[in-house]
Amino acid sequence: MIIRTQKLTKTYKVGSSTITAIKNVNLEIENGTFVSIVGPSGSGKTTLLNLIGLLSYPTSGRIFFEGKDTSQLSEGQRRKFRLSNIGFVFQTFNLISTLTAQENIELPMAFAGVKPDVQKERAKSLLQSVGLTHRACHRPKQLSAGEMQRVAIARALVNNPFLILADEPTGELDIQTGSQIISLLLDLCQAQEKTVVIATHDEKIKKIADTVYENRGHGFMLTLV
Amino acid sequence: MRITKMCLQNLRRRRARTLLTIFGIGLAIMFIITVGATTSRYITVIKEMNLFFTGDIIVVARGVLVVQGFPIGGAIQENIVDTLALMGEIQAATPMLFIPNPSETQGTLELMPKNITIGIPTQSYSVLVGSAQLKPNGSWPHANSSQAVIGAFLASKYDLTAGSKITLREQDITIAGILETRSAILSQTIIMPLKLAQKIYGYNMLINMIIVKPKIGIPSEALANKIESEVDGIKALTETERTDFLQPILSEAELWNIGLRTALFLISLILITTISMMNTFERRRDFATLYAIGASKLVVTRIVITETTLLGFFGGIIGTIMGAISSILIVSYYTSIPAITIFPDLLIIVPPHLITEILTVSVLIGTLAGIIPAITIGRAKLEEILRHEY
Repeated sequence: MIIRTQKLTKTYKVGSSTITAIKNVNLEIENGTFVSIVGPSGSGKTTLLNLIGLLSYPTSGRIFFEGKDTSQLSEGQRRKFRLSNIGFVFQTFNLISTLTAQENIELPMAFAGVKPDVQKERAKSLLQSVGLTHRACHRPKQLSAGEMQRVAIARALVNNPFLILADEPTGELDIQTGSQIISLLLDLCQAQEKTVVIATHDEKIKKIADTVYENRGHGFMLTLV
Repeated sequence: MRITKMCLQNLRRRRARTLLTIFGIGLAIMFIITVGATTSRYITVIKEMNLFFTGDIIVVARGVLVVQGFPIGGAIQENIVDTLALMGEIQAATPMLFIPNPSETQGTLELMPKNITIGIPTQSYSVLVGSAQLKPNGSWPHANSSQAVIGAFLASKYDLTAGSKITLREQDITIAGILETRSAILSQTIIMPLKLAQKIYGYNMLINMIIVKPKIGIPSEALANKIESEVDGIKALTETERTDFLQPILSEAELWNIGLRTALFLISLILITTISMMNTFERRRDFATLYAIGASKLVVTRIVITETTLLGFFGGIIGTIMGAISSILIVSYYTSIPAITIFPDLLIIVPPHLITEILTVSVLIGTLAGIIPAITIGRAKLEEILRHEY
């Protein structure tokens, strides 16, 4: 088991009121599986993903990676852990608009201190694997939505993480392009044994996932598929 | 390198805002340089006057205003020099006639009179010009001749060379030589034999100043007091007395200069900070993404500060160029010298130390301006920024 959460709760303060985004979530994710977190808007999917991705701190509860409690990690250690072990794919792609596709892919390697020539080589190879070699020098605004998401996936993979967290990766895409992106992520899971966790409200993704955690109004529960 | 490239691209992407900011900083810097160059030129000219007769005593008519070493008006008998020469404490006493010719403009920013005439005995030219040399083919005027030496600035202004003829108060004068000097005063001065100057300006047997050099070891104050007690109707000013007279004015001018610079730099600081706050707020998702994919807060801080530093640097460059041009135009306007002929003296009008200081401070201002936006983005809650965008 690669990831385990224990009574994970996250609350937000909005003015004087407190909003509970998720409460007492217990989930277990096996290595190399395709996990779908399903629920309607506002059900806490993004919050859960942010917590697993160590982007935010839980109000209570714990997250374990390969048995290690992440609550003991400092901010710097969390950043380093993210950098080498977790790749993020966002709904709105979140590419840096002033950089080219290749430069966007090189960024996480630059943060990890990889040598520039290695960065270039690996970025080109990833661009090739997502079928965008001819778009290497294009800026995000020169790419289609599907191409941008493929660049984002390449960026997520560049430091060879074991975990890919994708938050509504098909939310901004048409049906056909969305299916291509899901196929790409599924392929990563199956061919490269990456653990892929997708937050979505797309019921179709449930059907292809190994594991589904669904929130039907009573918190995230394991759904048998 | 990647960060600098990213910052430059970010600034280019917000082209209009970036250019307006740079132009705004440039204007502030231009103003700093123009005011700085003009006032420091004033101060330099005034201080330079004091350099002429360092350690000497200047004897002038009582009640006459003396700007550093030079009297404004007044007259004393020439034979006072003979009286002084008899004093044992005096090594040399040199009579001089100093006549500033007011320019037509008479503006408050006027740096110098239109020209200055100095009459001095032919054997004593070195007392005035020190080690300054004449241009090739020039010679010093002989006693009883109608010759004069003129400063390089005047020669250039009126296109004069050795051998040229000028007319001064209906007196024909031959230019015997052109004095090569960086001195603002001497470069605009017509130096001639004392007798000729007395004739032209109607100072028959009269002068308006005597330069007294005390013998080595003789205290200036005591000698000045002795001169004043033994000769009627004159005032003997030591170097300290001359300096004390103008020091408060110079200090105040420098204080205003510093105050103005500080205010303009603060305006630049606020301008860059405001723009940077706007830029970082607009790009908070980019910064949140950078954090998410593994950037440290130091990297984000570097991005913000590099951008503001670049704004300060470019503003400084533009401002320095505009400031140099405007300083030349101002000097040109008030001296009636074509701007093109002043360009070679650019580094005198806008000294390198001023340019270095301005560029350094503008870069520093840019760096400082990035601190508040960097702290703001550093404190922002990452998950809330990312959540907000969904």
